[in-house]
Amino acid sequence: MPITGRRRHHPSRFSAIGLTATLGAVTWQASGTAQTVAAPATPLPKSTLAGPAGDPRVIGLAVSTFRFAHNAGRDDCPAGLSPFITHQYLKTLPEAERARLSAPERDPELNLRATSLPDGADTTSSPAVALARSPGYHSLHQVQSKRSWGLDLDKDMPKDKVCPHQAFIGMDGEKGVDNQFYRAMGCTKGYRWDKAAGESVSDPFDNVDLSGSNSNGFRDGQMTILIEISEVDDPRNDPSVKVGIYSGRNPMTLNARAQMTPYTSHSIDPNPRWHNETRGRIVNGVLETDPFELRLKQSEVSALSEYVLRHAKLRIALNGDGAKGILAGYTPISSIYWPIPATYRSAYARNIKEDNPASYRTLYELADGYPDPETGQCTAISMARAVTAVPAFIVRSAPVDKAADATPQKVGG
Amino acid sequence: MSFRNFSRRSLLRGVLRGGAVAIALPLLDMFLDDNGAALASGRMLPQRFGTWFWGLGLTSSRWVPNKAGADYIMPEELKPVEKFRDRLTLLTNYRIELSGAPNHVHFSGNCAIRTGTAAKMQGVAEAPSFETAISKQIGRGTRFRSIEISCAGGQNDSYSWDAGNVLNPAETSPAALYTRIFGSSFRDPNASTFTPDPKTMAMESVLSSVKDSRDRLMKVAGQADRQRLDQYFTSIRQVEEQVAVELQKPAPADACVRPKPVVDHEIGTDVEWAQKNHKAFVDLVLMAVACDQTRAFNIVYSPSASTLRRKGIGANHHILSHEEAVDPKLGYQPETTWFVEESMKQWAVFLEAASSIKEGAGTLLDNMLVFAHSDCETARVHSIDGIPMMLAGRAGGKVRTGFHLAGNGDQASRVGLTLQQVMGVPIGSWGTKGFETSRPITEIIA
Amino acid sequence: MKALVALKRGKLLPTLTLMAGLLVTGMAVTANVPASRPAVSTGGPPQIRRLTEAQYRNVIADIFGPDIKVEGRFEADMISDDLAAIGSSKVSVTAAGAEYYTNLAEGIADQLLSEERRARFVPCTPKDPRLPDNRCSAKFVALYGEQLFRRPLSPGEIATRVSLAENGTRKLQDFYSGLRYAVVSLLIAPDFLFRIEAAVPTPNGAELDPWSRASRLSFLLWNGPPDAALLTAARNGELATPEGLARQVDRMMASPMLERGVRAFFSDMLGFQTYATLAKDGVIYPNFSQGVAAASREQTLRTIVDHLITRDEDYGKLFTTRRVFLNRDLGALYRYPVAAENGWEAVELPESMGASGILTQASFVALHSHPGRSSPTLRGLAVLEKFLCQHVPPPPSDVDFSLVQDINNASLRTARLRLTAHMTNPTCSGCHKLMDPIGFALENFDGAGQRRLDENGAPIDTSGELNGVKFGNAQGLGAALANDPATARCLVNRVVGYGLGRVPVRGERRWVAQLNSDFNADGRRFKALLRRVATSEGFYAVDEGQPSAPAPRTAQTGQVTAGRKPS
Repeated sequence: MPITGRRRHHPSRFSAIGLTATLGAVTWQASGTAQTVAAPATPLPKSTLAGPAGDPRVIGLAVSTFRFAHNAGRDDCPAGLSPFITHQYLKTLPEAERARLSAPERDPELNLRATSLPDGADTTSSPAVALARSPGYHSLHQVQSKRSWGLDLDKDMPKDKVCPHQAFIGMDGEKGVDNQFYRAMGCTKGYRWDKAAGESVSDPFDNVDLSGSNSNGFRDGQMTILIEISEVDDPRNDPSVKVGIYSGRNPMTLNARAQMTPYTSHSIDPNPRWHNETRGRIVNGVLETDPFELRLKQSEVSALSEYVLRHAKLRIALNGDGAKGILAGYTPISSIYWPIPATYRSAYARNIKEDNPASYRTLYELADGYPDPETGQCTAISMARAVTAVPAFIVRSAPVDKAADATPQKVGG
Repeated sequence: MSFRNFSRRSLLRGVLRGGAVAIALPLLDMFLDDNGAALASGRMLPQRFGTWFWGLGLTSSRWVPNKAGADYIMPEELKPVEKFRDRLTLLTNYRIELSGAPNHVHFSGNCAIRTGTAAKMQGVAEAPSFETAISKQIGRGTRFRSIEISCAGGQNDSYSWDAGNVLNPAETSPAALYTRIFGSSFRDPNASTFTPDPKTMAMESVLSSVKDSRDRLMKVAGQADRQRLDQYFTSIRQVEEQVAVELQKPAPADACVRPKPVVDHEIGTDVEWAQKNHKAFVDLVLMAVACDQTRAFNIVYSPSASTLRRKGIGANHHILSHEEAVDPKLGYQPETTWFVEESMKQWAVFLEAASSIKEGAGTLLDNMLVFAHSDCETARVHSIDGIPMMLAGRAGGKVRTGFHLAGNGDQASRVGLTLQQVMGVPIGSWGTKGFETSRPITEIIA
Repeated sequence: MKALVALKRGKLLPTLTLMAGLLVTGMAVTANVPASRPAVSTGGPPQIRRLTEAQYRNVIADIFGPDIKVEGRFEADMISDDLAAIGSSKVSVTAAGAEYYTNLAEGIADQLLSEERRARFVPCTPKDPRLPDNRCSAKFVALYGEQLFRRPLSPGEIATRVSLAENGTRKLQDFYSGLRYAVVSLLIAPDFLFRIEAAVPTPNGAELDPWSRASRLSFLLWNGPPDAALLTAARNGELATPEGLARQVDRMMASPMLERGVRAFFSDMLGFQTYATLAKDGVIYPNFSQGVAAASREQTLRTIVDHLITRDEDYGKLFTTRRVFLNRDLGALYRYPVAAENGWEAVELPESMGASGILTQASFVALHSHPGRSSPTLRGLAVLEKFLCQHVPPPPSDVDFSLVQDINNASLRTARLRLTAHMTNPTCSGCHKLMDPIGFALENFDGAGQRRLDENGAPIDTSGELNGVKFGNAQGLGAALANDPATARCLVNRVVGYGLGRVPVRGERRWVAQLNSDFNADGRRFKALLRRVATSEGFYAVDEGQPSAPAPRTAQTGQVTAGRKPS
């Protein structure tokens, strides 16, 4: 997955299109400095967020960053980043052949061979076969550090919905933070926000401009996420508010700084499947929701899929410029793995350097939610998204004023 | 004196000082084999002339050299062009004579330098600018009589007037200029074959056809309208000549290399954009000159009352020049001066580009003459005395360079007169009212 | 009304005289002019106006259809006496311009005669497509020549083009390739690029010829060329009678093309040419994108058309209305929700948003600001110049502003404080006292047109003054402007100057004053004003002795002389 602008310059153009692609790790941000989720320094002026013409009891937001909430600490990966599948493959070859295939112009051949099974199938489409054939060959380094972004997800889950796992300490010191996806993928290139390692940002909340192709999903309207907080009596402290998270249907508009333009009107996608509603509370300017089931429209490259989080929770700090915080929940592994071969069955699949069978195995190994009733194997994995949002007007129905929208005269002046 | 010693300079001095010039200068070219520049092939290089304009001048305390002559110390604001000092002539302390007309800020100075006549109204020139007389003189047989450039996006940021109310519009898009000069109508002068385009052949008669209406219209139009119509017919004739040129095999041009197509970036008053576009324009214009597509050009890096601005700063160069306080320690306005110094860096960009194109025994810069000037001296007070003026290049040996000439408060119109004469325009005096002069600056003429 | 009655009364006899003259000279049609009309207006000199870029585009679209692309550069319009329409009477064609027009002409000709389109445009088929067919080319040239020159062509003018086509066809061995040169020749002709007004002699002086009348009318109302019906009305003398003229004016005002004309007039009056170079600092005003800039222009034109044409409201209320048009780009700038996803919607803004007609729209407050900050001075100047036709002299050249103003001074946080410091200088204060207090009322809108209540943390005081009327905010300014008699008078002057292509001459003042009192009596309805101008005798009057360009000898009208008294 090409996470950042810098990734586009990676020596192998397609190497980044791996598992992340379908996981929806779209780089997308707006203004707002990265801090931990805490009470905002300045009190929230309600009128600012709602807009002078808006309902004062409603706060509308359009999501402008939706990155994996992954840290890039120095002690995360003592053994280094996970090796590319091509690297593993080369180790199996005799010296002369290894040297031959290591030449840059042999890269396509190397990719093809490293990701092919004897019957010609590709390893991504048949991860179980690939793993059974040579288990030691597929390798993924796991995160070793103790701290992570995320939320404590399982504290209000029934015991039988959880598999044994190790929790992180949150970046704010919060105990019991669940982010097994970070543990699994956090040592894989493209999943870390590490400027030293060539990423364009060093923090999941960091500012980048959105003019690059990486934010296409958001720019073409395929993945606009809207948050509406209503029944707000006091934006600083309110024990009960309504929270809706919706797929929008309009592309975001970029301003002159290539960031999301605040106070734009956005229409909600009419498909009720992507309307998610829950309740929550605001404490000292921080909104925290009850758990809910989240489904959002999602577009990655050419594949339309769905972004699913179960037992999801949103915790965002509201401020004058919008909001910033964490969206966390359990993602069904099948929903994030299987679209990959479906999407990249073409030539792309053979250009992937990420070791997808290794990811497949590790995700199931670390899965911590929703065990299969028969096998007991957990089917979903905890994860967290870094979210920033700008003020927006959320429009439910979009009746176009026919009279006002008469085609303008082509030639004006 | 013997005929052998009858140099161009002595002739000019002798004849021009006498006031009445009966000899058209181009006739003198027959005497000039020792001074004219020739290509290796023996073919004479054409005369070229350009102007380079920047807005809001220089700071008087920081650009006038301490002494006249060749061994002056390069002043602070001219440091960027130090490298080119032997090809530069600094003209300081020349004055604008308004003869009772008001000082229309950011216009009167540059307009008078160009037209020899004080403007009565802001933005309206009373006479053609002198470089159009030069381009008409030297531009015969080229596709473009002159190329006008504005780097900050304003089509009307041009100080070239064919007549009082005829402002030659400036190109603002490098990509459009590329297409105009080097697009499909371009004929490579160094190509071995040449086939005239039959479509172009037919165009020639089309252009002549519109002239049929000339007599009818001119006979009855009022005086002002007659001038306007006359200008129209002259302009149509210009295109006709351009078409005629395109139908002839061009003469080889040693330094000509068709540039790669240009893509536009942002166009506007942001100083970074203007500088990017300036570089693109300079490369195109100089190659157009090297390819003999034109022999005259006018480049405006920043308009008078410069609107250039830096991102994130509310005031542009012009506003800063009025509102910024003089730093008591430095003795000048620091933010404003940043823009001033940038202007000279861009002038250096031009000079660098012109001297990096090899042509004949020297460089393109050696074989042209460029007149750089601004609209005022110290912008803060709209000073029109001592407006910065410089000459660069040697016009193939026709001018002397490498020194500082202090003008002693002389009329700035002497510069326009001298440049016209050097470029072969047959005139003996130039300018009107207090700006009229028949005294060329002989120190410049080689 | 008075003028019309007078015209009717004085009309009969001269018409008969003229008719007799027509029979004698063999002229089929000419202007129809009363001999002893009361001098409502002397008229002024006929004009030669270069087509503006918008007019050129409209002409091509109207004659050939909107699918014919006009691609290429134009010479910039010139503003003179506050209008490009007046500047168009002063500009010519530069060498670069001749190149632009030639390129445009070639591009258009290529499209018209392309294989897909030639059947649509060429009204005949050549006998042999490789050979000249002069009858066919003549038919084509006469058909489009009349539309492009806005008058019939003389036999000589047709013959020139036919021979061009013939020679071109011989050179290129293709009829259509040859015909291309006839098209180019029409499109670079002075009679196309310039609107050359011609006068015909009358017993009492001179009068615009019918073709020039048709053009004045169509460019006033439509900013485009006369259509077929109007050319017919010119040909058959209809335009020369008050009834016929009124019929044409009513027809044209009922046309959807009126909106194009009204947009063009107000774009000129409001100085929207400036949009070509409008840019805001992306760091200071990140949300003022090019999309917002374009939308802000459209917003104001929609407001004007809605207010003045669709709803036919009082012109003065254009400065106070809270009804605006928004799309989503502008909604973001205004922080106002917009339901329409792709188009525009009309919204009555709440009073709390401080809107006051077109004054507080970005097309005014952002256009008259610096790239990185607002300017009460520029806005005040624009109100005076654009809406009141009042001129402020330029600042003196020898003032050193930096001595009285220090923008780094932390105590001068608002524009008012900075400018008040400025006004302590007596050389400056005279004019700044006129301009700045107008602009102060608009300071709740920043340099990009976004609403704000404070500047650099200091609250903004929006009290101000216009020509002695004090007010507290933008709505107050809007009301003061709406109530100022100069506002209506200025609009009338602008319409007249726009229509004539020049400032009214002395002999036209009485006519303009009459238009102004009629405009006020009509409740300042813009449509009524347009109709009065378009149907008034004064609009077509020509001052005798004033030079003008002639119409050529044309196939239909025979010899027509210049606008001079026949000797």
